[in-house]
Amino acid sequence: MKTTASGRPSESGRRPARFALLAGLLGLGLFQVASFAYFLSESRDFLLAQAATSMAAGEIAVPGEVFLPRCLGPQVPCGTRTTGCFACLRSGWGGPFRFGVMSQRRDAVIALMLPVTARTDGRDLILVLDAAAYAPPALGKRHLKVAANGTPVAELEFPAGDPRTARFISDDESFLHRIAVPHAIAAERSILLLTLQMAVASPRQLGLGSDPRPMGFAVRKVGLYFEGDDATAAATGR
Amino acid sequence: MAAVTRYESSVIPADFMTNPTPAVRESVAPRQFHSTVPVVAVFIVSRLLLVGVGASTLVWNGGHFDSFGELVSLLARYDAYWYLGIVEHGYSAIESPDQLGASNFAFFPVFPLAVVATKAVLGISGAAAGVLVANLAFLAALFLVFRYAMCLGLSPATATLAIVLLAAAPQSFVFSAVYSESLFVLLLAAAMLALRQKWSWTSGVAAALLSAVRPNGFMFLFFAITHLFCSDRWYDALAGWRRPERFIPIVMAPLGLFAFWWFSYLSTGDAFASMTTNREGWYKTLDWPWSNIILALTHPEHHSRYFMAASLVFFGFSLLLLKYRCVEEFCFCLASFLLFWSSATIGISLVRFSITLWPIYIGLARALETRPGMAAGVTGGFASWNAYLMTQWALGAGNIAL
Repeated sequence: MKTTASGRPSESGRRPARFALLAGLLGLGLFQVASFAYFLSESRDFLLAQAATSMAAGEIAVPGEVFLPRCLGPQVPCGTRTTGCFACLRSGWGGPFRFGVMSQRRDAVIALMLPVTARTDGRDLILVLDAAAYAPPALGKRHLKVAANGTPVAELEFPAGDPRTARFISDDESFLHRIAVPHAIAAERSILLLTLQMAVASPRQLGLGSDPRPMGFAVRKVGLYFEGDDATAAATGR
Repeated sequence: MAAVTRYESSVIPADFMTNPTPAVRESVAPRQFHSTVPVVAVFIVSRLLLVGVGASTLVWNGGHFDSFGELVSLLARYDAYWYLGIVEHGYSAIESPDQLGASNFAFFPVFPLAVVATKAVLGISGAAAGVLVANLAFLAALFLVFRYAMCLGLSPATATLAIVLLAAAPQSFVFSAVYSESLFVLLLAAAMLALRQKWSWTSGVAAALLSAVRPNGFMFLFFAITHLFCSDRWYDALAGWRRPERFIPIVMAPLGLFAFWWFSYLSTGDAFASMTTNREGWYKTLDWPWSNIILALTHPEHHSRYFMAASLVFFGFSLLLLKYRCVEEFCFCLASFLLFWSSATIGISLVRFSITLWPIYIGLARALETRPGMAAGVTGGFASWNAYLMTQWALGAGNIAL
């Protein structure tokens, strides 16, 4: 190695070491980029794989009631282990009232946290909505469009209400609406985003009272079951 | 030069913190040995006060606090059980029966590894080793933060104020608990200090370890890259062949994260097992930060609003770093906050995450150094907030103390 008078490596003497370091750093950087690309292509969701393996081995039973949220009260953002909620009213909802929660915008969104079994089982799911529409006669028949992860899955119709009785009505006495959600939609992601679309109007707008709050429909409970297991919904729905 | 060493804002050049004059460097260098007294004092006083508050809370509510075991029990709660599970049984892909989708892959490995080593060497319980590691790391972190503040040209008094704020910060009791926060602060301080002092390999090793301590560890990259461009003209900064050692910390910083990804991939088939289990078990999915901020601030439950508002307050404090031209430190804080807000569908734990961004206290201390009354007020406010959270922690009222 070339050295200076003081014994230190000269500039030209240091050059090979510098380039060796640069090459090493480049190699390390490329290794990280290649690793990341490899992980993106080869990595598999370990919880899904674990659930599938366990189910195939019969180690875990598939519960009949896959999902029944315990809180549809105030709007609760997803992911609260402290409140034990597995559903949230994501947007478009008003505060809770006697029946449940009321949609206040045309699009109201509920996010359901899907357990891995809901995505690995392969069966379609049945969404059970315990819901009623705000349907004063002036609004006529009411229509509720339901989309799961952006895919339309149902359109419910609510007849116009009788002005002398309840303002919130459903199409049957049980208030329960069963909606099929194809497995392919549920398998897409760990959250099932339900977009419920219905026009809103306030009693004040309609000249029916002083309440200025826009109203669409009300939801009390929501459940998600495997197809064929949703009979339990009838027992637990109300 | 005497005017400069008076540390009055009116005579300090605008780039004083990032580019102190050689005379200032010399003037502070001989005093560095004095850091032992303030650092140790701050550590002992703050820890004693916090443990005192926790113990009093327990006793006041009919509990006991009369043994070392009680102390360890006080400091090993909530997420500590996840770390201790890793220490005792290693990583496991089996989800928790109490929390579907949750597994200990959500917790990064360097802290539990340090606890395992301490436990093996000293022959003590995992929880006691965890408390020891966390506290030693915090003591060392206080030294390095003090040194860092001095390196930026701050006076010893201001550097002391910075570590007082760090030790008194709300929820800073986690620096003594079986949590990875204190180790994070230590390694972050080591990586930043080494980089500023041009010890590239030391900075690179500390940064690599840092990225395997907590998920935002790799955000050190933003500090390192900004530092590269701030200390050189951009075309010199990009000329890697001239001084390749400047790139060592940048290239090495993600190594810890990649090591954890490789471990996760080889043991579960899922390199991103940490993210997977965070999504399934803790419902943390990425969203736009502003969406999460609005969602948390309009949330009907007060603790969600509290966490998000507190993180915004800390972000506000971090803007002081820009005022004092600590651009690198600010970029690190900004990147960390954006990561926190993007993954916090509910703002839980945001205070704990925010207090680890210790450059904030340097900016704050710099702003308060000539305002002793306000400095006392802020410190007192932090300490009171911290004491209240300590009572909640001791009582197991986890919503607000998580």
